[in-house]
Amino acid sequence: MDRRRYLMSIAGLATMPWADALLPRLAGAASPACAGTDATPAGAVAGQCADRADRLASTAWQRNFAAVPDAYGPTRVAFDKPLPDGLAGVLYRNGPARFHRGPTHYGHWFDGDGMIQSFSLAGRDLVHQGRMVRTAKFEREERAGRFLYPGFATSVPSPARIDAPDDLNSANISVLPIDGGLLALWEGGSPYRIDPASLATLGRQTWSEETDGMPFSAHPKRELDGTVWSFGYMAGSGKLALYRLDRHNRLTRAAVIEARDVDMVHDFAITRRYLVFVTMPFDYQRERNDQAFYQRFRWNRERASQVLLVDKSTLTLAHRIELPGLAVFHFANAWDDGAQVRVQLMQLDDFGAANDAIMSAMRGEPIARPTHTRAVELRVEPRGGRATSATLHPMAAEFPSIDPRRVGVAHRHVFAATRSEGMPDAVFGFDAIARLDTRRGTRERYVFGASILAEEPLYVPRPGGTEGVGWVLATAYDFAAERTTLHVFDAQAVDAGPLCRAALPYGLPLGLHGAFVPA
Amino acid sequence: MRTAAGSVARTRPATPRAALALIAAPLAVVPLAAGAGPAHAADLIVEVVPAGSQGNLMLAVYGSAADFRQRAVVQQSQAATTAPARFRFEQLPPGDYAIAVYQDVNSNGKLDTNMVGMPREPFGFSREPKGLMGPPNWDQVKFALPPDGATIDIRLER
Repeated sequence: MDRRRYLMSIAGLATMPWADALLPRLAGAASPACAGTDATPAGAVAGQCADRADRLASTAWQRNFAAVPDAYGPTRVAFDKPLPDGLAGVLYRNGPARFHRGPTHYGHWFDGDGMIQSFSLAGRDLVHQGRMVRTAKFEREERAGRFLYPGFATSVPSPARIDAPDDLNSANISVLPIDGGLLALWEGGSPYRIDPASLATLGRQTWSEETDGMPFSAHPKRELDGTVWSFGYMAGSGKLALYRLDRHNRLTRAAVIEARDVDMVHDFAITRRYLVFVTMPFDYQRERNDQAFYQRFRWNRERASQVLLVDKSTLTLAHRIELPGLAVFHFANAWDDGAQVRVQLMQLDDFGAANDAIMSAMRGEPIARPTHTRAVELRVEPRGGRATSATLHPMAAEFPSIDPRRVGVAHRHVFAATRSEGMPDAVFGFDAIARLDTRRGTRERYVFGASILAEEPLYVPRPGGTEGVGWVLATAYDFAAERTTLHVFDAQAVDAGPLCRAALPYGLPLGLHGAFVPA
Repeated sequence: MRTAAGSVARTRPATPRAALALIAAPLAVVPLAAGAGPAHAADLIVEVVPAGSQGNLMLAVYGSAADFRQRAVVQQSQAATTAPARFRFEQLPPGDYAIAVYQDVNSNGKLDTNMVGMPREPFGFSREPKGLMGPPNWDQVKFALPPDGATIDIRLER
């Protein structure tokens, strides 16, 4: 099947009249629709160019995931200026990458099988590699030539038998460098071990027989001494698993607590005393196991959210505080502040609308109901059983990143992906990165050029520097040129633009989360 | 009660597990109804494809929703080999049954699970229900054994 027919069939574009205008662009040829000719009045050309720009934007996500190879590189490219002194190491990123297999397709960003990208920064060069995580799911589906298992939100025809959560494991959300090794993280099952140099998949991670096969979050939290806290949720079980690892990746504590509304928990926070969870008021329909995971959830606006404070020393639930229902994926951080626990998280205006927006973007359609996520701070009084909420800044904010040395204690700065006013409502994603000074309520922002989608900005501390001194690493995808570029910013002046950048000769699948390993 | 013919390894009693266990201790075996004579008895054959050739295949046949995963009508075990295992149960009264089988890979006499009850050894049920995030219920696994008998296939290997 030639590439044009393949793309038309998988995108459902065959009935769209503008498909022909789009596809020559994908083949690299200049689109005649936007080029002026003697026969075409200037106004008509401008209108066509605007239409073409809109189409490029609303199909950006769909095209990004249309034909992702199983591997990239190693590819060496030069930074346009030297790397700043003190910055050397490897940025690892993970994200969903495989959405098409034979006649079957996934329709939500979070469905795709995971792919690890490594960006090795040294001297004047960037060396990039990308490799799929070869989970058990991936290997079985390779043999079968189609998707056998549902993704996060997409079911498949004639699914194979599912005996355990790890059967669905796509290992596609984040990474955890630990003890010289690297774990690819999903959230519904085990991590997978990855060779940090070759990105080969080494196998499924298991720490003990007791915890073998249990879910492990994509957002573990690392303390200064290297202790890693994490959790896992098992939809329909009424339970949360809790884990503590030491810096040598040995499991030192494991426990299961009972809780309500823990059927989908993506992230959490820690303080000196507590593990902090915020539940969402979803009704979960466990009997609908013919559907994909997310399809079993219904937001219930009549119900409340709860802040769960788990005592770290006993791993038992110490406090449960209700607050009006809120939707959240990511936490910036939390800390104990005398009688209060302060929790900064990215609150979604509308969980359903956000997921609808993702699926529209994946289908190449404009977003019908724009919706946003903002940084808020909860002030929780465990003794009084009260929680209040305040918006930290009105800007759109997602993929938060803080100084890793401030995890669990008061921080000042939050780095986040954001949207400029110029970004069309119809397009999903971010076109800028920002540093939010949560003490002063101010922000510095850098807007990437037109046709660019910004990914997670990761703060990297300068060794020995104070909070916020260092750099921000951010990949960004140009959906017109179909190229991904890694940018390096001075963390104290992101608005000054990148200190240097390196452009890859290809575009990478839009990813989720990463981590930096200093050289 | 007539016990099943075919190769039977000495079944070591499994340690009783809590409610989350997929396959309960098959110590209690329900006696078949009195008066079930050969004219109303059927042969049940179960073919099990093991996951590898380690350990023993531990199979239990249940006869009712109330007894499912609690008390087996009959049980049998065989060493796992590279070939599919054939279990034969003769002269069962026709009616609804369910089968649960696991592969006791480390031969410790029980289905090993993690701390939330997820099995860590291969397991299977009649009708191989999909989408399990917990033990199946009787309706998902029961099948009718007709007077002229039946063969049930269960695949442990994925």
